[in-house]
Amino acid sequence: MTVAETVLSCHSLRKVYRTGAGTVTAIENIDLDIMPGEMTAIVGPSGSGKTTLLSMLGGLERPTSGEIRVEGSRLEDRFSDLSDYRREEVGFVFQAYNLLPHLTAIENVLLPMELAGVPRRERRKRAQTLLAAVGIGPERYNHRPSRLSGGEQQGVAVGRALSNQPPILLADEPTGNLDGETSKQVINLLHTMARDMGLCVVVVTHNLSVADQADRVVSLNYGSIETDRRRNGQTAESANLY
Amino acid sequence: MIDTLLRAFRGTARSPVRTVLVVLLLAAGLSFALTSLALAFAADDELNKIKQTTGVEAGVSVNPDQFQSAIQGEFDRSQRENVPFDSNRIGQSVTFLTTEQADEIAALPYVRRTEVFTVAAPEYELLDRPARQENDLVLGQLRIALPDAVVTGTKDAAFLPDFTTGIKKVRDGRLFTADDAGKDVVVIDQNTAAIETLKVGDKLVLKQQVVPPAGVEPPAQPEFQQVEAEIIGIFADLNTASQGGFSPAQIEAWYAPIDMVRKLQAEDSRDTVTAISIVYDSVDSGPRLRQDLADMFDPDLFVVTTSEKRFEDISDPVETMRSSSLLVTIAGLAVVGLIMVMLMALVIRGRLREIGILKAVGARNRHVILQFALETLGIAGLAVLIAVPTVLVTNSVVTDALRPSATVKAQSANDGGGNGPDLGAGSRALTDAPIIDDPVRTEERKAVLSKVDATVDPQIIALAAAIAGALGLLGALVPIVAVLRLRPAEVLRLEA
Repeated sequence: MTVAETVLSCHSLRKVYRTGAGTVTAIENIDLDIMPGEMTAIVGPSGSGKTTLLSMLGGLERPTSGEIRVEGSRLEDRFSDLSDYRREEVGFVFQAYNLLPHLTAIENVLLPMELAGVPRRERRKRAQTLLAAVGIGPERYNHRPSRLSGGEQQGVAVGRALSNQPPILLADEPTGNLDGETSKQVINLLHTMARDMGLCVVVVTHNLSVADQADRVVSLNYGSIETDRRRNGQTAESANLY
Repeated sequence: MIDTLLRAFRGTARSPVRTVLVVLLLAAGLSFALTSLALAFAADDELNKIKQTTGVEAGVSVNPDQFQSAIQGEFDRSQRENVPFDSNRIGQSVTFLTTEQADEIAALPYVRRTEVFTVAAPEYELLDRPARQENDLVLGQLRIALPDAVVTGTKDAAFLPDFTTGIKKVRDGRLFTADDAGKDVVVIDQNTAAIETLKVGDKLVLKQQVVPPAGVEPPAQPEFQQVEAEIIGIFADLNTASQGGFSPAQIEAWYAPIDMVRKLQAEDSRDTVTAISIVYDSVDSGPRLRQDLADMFDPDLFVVTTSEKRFEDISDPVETMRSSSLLVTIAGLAVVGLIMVMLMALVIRGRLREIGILKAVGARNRHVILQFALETLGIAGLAVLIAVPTVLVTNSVVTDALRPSATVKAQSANDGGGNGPDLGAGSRALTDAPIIDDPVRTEERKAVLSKVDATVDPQIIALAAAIAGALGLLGALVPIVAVLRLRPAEVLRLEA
């Protein structure tokens, strides 16, 4: 796969929620191509549809209309069960970490590999490598999430998201519960992952300092893309040209 | 699988209070349902045992109507010819059973044993003094000669229902057995013994007038068969006591070995049998037996009685217990199932975030279902471990409380009949077909009725595990399937 190849894209994506009071259009006609090796930040005010867009890209939510393509194939065609997509192609990092509280740090990282059927020894080795990469030492492996700091918990969450070596990493407000310094470390980590591992990283944030570190910033408002700029000042459309 | 199992265990251990609550509720419900189920099983078992140990006896006896007609005939004759009423003539017009018929019944394939009974109706004399008792009825000018006793003869007094059911109890001495065959011994009632100051070991002379066959005029001077018999037992009759005590003008029922009774009968009537008792293989053969006996015996002359009524008397309360236990079991299980569904729905509701996370990291529905199924089975297993000893303890208490109060009552062909004059126990001996009680069967029956054996056997424990597992799975799967229908984002949103 070359750098120019699109890993994840969506076309004419639309999501409408039905509520008791009527319908709410959360996402309207979004076209987006996500490239490998770069970190994309999706920004926008609350209710602009950032999380909904990320959920649809991650297979946690189905779009009302439009399509999502993964490495050129329609998502539904490639994965009859979206669980397989979430397990093999996507890593998710949540604002609230969403670690399983009754499992230890390393067990949380082992979980997706266990579901994917990775051999036990390989799992352990990979989990240790990932935890080391996110700065969790062996002395913390067997600690439960409640005994880890916020930064450590988010580190474990990143480790878990990367455990099945997915090409896509999606993060929803990953620094929302972290202090400034820790936020910076986490974003640096994600950026490094994108750059060094060729991952396609999408971060939803309303924190402009986080967005500043992204390679590309997509701004949403009222469910539609308002701006889409790369760090070098190019628009995404022109960036797609190379 | 091992990882899922470990995760399930962690999930269960995560909320110990909630888990303990669910386990205890399930255990309580199971204990209740299993106690009922064990009782239902036990009752079913008891019914089978009762079926095997009761209701397999029958009897054929002379139809009491024959005696009624014979007495009426002799009364008419005495009036018509202006001669004394002669009770000895009554037997002439009665058709008795025969030993040949008893053998014929014994040859039926499903008949296990037969016992024959015959009677003599003698008067007695004492060896050293005149007897004080005289049974003859004097009604104005009419004098009706009645015997002092009716002596029932059979091989072994152990088969006599009056004694096996406790209506009569030996007060002094003993009953005769098969070993007394050929001996001239007799068992008499305590009232006669008191009046005549007789005791065990004393002897008396039994005398019976020889009755010629029907149509043959009796000789001018009556002829008697007589036997000097030793008293080997004196019995008390609870019926006599309950009916207001002894009446001097009452024919007593005595008992003696059949060979001795035959000595009192005329030569040509020594093949006669007043009753045949039958033991057959099972209640199921009852209809066949009744059919075969109906083919053999004229119902105008003979009465066939079976002890199926006794089976019903015994089995009815057990049957009621079985039905009610099953109903309680079903109701209990339904309630437990409902509680489990509600409890597990609460448990699942409290673990939506976990389910959402599992789905978000790529768990398939079957992964989630397997994890919760294993958790539930673990909870069910714990509940069974608590329920089984609980049931063991409670069953012993409940068993006593619900023990059936069935009692074995002697059946009588004359029960409720009201045919003919009641001349006392002795006369009833002429027409009763004793429902003989095989001593072995009597013991079995006593054992059956002494307790309902509601022990919790492996079958019940296996059933408990299966029920607990099924209820748990039902309780867990209903809400979890509902949750799994949602998108992971929805589940996480619900939790948030």
